[in-house]
Formats: sequence, C-alpha cells, structure tokens
Amino acid sequence: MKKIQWQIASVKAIVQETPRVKTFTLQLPDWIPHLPGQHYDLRLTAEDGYQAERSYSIASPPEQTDEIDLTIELIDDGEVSSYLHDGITVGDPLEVRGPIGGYFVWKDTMATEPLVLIAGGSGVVPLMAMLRHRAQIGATNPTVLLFSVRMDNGVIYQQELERLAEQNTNFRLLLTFTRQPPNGWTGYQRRIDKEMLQEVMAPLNGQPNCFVCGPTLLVEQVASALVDVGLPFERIRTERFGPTGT
Amino acid sequence: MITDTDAIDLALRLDGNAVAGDFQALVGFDVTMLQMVCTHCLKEGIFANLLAYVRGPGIVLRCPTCEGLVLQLTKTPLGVVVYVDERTDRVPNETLLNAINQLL
Repeated sequence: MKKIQWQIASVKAIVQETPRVKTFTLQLPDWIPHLPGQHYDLRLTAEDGYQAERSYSIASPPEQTDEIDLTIELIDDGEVSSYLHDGITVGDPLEVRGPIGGYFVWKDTMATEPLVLIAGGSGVVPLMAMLRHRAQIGATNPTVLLFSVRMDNGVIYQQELERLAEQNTNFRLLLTFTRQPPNGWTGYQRRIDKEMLQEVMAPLNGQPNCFVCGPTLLVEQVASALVDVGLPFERIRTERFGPTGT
Repeated sequence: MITDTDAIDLALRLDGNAVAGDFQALVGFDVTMLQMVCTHCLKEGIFANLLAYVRGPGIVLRCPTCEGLVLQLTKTPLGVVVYVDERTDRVPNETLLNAINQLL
C-alpha cells in the first residue's frame, strides 16, 4: 500500500446541504482511488503553529476521480468545523491525507449480498459513498438505508436519496424523525430501536452486511439492538462519530 | 455511578477508525483490520473496534470489552511516543509491535 502523505487540496466547490451541513469538493494533486466508507484526515495549522486534526468521511464514490467530497456538519464550539463552515471559500487550500481505513468499507465482493445501512445525522456520509458507488456499478442487491434525523430540515442528501429510491426498486429509504417530523409525516418518529430494526430487516432474505455510523451513543445502542435481533457480530461494522451536538 | 465526567467521556469516545490515519502515517500500512489482543482480559478483536479517546494530549485506545489500556500514542515536538503492552507471557500484538519496533 502506498504510504499516505499530507497534501494540499484546493476547495473546488461548496454546497449547503442542510442549515448545518456543507459539502466541500476538494481537488487533490495526488488522488488515490478509495473504497466507499473510507475517510480523510484534515489538518488546520494556526499562525502560531497550533494544529488541529479531524477525520471526515468521503461522500463521493471512487468513480468521481481527481477530487473528493467531504460533507461536514457544523458542531457547536467545534474549532475545526466552524472554521470550515465560516472561514473557507472556493479556491482556498486545505491540508488533507487519505484515503484511510480498511474496516468500515463496502467492498464489491459484498455487492450480491443484502445491505443494511443505518445512519444518525452526518453518519450518513460514508453510507452515501456506498450508495453512490452501488448505483455506479449497477448493483441490485436488496439494500435499505435507515436514517435517523432530528427534524425536517436535517435530511442530508434528501433529494438524491429519494431519487435513488425511485430509480432502484431494490433500494429502500426509511427515515425516522426523533424531534420534529415534517407536517403530515406518517413514518417513524422515534429513536432507532429493536422493533424498528426487526421491521426493517424482515423483508431481507439472508444475513445482511450492516454498516452503522453516527454519534457514539446511537452507534452503541443500534449495534447492541442488532445483536439482540439475531445478526451475528461479524456482520455488523460500526463507526463512531463522537458528539454532534445532539 | 454516572457522573458528568463519565457522560462526557462516553460522548467523546470514538473508535479505532478515527485514529487510523495517525497509525498508518507511522507504520506505513492500514491498521484497522489488525488482530489485537487485550492483555488485561485476553479478548481478541480488531483495531477498528478499539475504543479511542482522542481529545487529550495523546491518543488512548482501550479494549471494548474491559476498557483496559491497549495502546497509547503521543505526539511531541521531537517525535511520536507509542506505548503497546508487550508482556511476553501473553500474546502480543505482533504486527503492530514489529512495525513500531522497526521504526525505533
């Protein structure tokens, strides 16, 4: 494996996804094909030499060459995310290294097996890379995304997810709103629990590969509920995001 | 007893994925799938599933089962200090240890 080095990316585009979430497209001088689910480390250096590092999941599929999309949520008092949201504009340089990680990745060898993706908030980002890549390679494996968001305007990638669900009958999008659902909402309105997971997984034949990403507490609760509903531990991959202002 | 400090520690708990970049930069390969053994409870697992505390001066990795200390990594102005429990009466975390020893 090629040893990863810090490199200076250039911000090519910034898209406001939700009121608190932006996607930064970074042009990379040394782009390395990634696997869906991997991340990049990002490093900010102050004039006095103080450095802060964070890791951010890649949202773009490997088919999007020479650049990566990082979708980043603004965290209250977050020194890195608030600088990125308020202080960065198109054309600015950013120091990054990656792609990183070989565990929380959806591999093409899994493309014929059922897939369950479970996200809390910006935990949807690495799962989006998986869904985008899955669409690119034309996979038709039964797939479901269960996405827990707090309120109506918090659904990152909403239009694209709805379009993916319309275009591919083997992909189901399920949202659950934990605080404020949209007007007239008839779907789930609670935190992800064992009963919800049982309902979501019931139509799938065989044991799915399951990827869970979100705030630490959500990930730990969902992982333990998945074991309770009978999914073997080896089928469950988790990634903790830490605090996200919940 | 759950104190405020416990709640903060819980919320700040990440996993091995979050520190994979630091280790990959150090040893030159992806460490997330490495088999690790906790020298406290002897439970085997993989690096990605270790609990990671990253907001201190260094990185602390603990066993997800017993929360025993597995690894510490501290960056200083002069270099990187790594602590791995390598008691030889218990199965060491060989791949990572060997890679780190080669750097020393």
